[in-house]
Amino acid sequence: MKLVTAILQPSTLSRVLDALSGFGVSGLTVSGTEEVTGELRVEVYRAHALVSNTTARIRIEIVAADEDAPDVVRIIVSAARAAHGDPGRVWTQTILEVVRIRTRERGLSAL
Amino acid sequence: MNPYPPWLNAGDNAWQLTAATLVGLMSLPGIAVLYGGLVQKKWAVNTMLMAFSAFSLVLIVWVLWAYNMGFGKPMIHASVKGTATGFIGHPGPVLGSTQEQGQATIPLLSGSGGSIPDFRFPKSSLVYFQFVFAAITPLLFLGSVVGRMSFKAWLLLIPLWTTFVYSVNAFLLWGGGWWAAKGALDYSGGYVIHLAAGTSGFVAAAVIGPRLARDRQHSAPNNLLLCATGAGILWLGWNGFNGGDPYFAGADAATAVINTNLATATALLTWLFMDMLLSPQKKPTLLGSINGMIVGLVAITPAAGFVNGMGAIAIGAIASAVVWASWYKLSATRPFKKVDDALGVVHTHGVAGLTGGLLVGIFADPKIIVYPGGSTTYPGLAYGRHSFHSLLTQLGAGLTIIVWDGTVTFLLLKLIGMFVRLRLPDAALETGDIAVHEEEVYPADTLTALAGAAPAAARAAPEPGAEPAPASPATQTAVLDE
Repeated sequence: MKLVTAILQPSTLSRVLDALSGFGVSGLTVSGTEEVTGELRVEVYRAHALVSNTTARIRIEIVAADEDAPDVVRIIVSAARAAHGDPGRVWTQTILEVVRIRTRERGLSAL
Repeated sequence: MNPYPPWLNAGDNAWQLTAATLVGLMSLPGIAVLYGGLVQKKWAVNTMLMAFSAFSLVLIVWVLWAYNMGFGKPMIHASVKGTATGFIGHPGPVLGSTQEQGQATIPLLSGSGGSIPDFRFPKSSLVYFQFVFAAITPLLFLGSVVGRMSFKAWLLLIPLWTTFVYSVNAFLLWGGGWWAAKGALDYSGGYVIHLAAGTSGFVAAAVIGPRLARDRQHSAPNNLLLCATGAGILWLGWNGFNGGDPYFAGADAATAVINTNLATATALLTWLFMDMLLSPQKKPTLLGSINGMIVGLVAITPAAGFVNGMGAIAIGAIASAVVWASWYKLSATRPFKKVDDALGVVHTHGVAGLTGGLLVGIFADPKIIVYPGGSTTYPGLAYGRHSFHSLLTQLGAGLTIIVWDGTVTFLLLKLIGMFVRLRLPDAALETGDIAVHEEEVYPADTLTALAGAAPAAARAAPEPGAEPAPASPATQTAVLDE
């Protein structure tokens, strides 16, 4: 089994989710996060300047069977193109064990 | 010494100043937090600052020239059945000692022979009371243009709109102008304020252009607690809005207050029940109920002191049902589907204001007395024998507002568009508040002091041949120029 993790621009989220569900990919987790980028964002509060070099991103995590993982990556990559800026990254890791808590199923049947 | 000049009545003056303050609270913080909560998180700061800045701009314009255009001596004269009237007042300031402390008058209406008894408060009370109405009107149509209008264009539009649109509306219906002389009734601004805001907002939304397509589709509000706070301030603030408009702390002020609350409660419940029975989800919703509440407040506004309690309940129920249908059905048809009226102002203020204004022509009760001994209002269709006179007069006044306000708003925006862009560039629309103001509504935890973070950014950036990272706030803001 593989864990596919994608860090994407928030604006591409709905397109990526539509594409994944269109290919029958289910069981994914989405969270908001910040990526440290080279872009320096300045905000000024009461004449006091503050900066951040992070940019809002979306993290999608999907656990898939070994043979499905490359397709999941391809779907995300083709759907996550963005009009402006860096569209993000996708990476894959090996997963040792998955347990579905309700049924105690393990491995692929727990996905 | 005497604390009061002989014409001043402490009760009337105290109520007028209290009512004006209540109406002011409807704008700040009422509309600022209601709209600030209704927009996407990335536009909350922009929305609230547009509200605060417009409120300030209108006051300056109001005392320098616009008050007298709405409530002063007529500039373009006319006559209706021997009564002197006009279309606009002479512009001029109201800043001197006699203007602030002398007795208030509306030249075409006050005193013997006029339709309003001599005022018992100073002119500054009237100027301020009328200012808070002039100020809330552009704040209402702000809801149509949030999420893409350039802040600079907004600062240019407000003084021009107050001068050429609001002052005309006010003079025609409240300053003794042509429609007032014809007998058109607008107790507190169903036409002057709400139909005006709905029309102007819709036209402005069309001229400026839509938000980003994605923002239109995903226009989730960011804070329902603030929506509820703003809405509650609107409801109770409306006691001053309608209760202050007889200009005297008399029986009709009390009538207007209870009628306002009756129509509002009825309209809130009507929308709630329609949501539960007829909406696709069949669920009661907070934001739906608030919308119904505002519809009730808007619809009773032209009628508050002219109808009885039953009339108020009827207006609340009818207007809420009409606007509910408008919100769900009319919005799916052109041009309402095409134009991006972000918060639906054309429905909650335009349709509701027009509905209320027309219903005055039906439910105005001749036994509801504004001033004892004064001339009674035209009876509405429900009380007149066979008179469509009131209804037709109300229709004529409403159409005048729609045509004038729509046309002039269009022309003013075209004029402003020759000097500054009306709609922000797409890159700024992606970012929102930070691009326009360098502030965000909930500043991020990742923000650090400028000195500490700059080296970190410099470390992240350099690649051979890459452009250097932006080094200072000045270079950052230059990119975001409107």
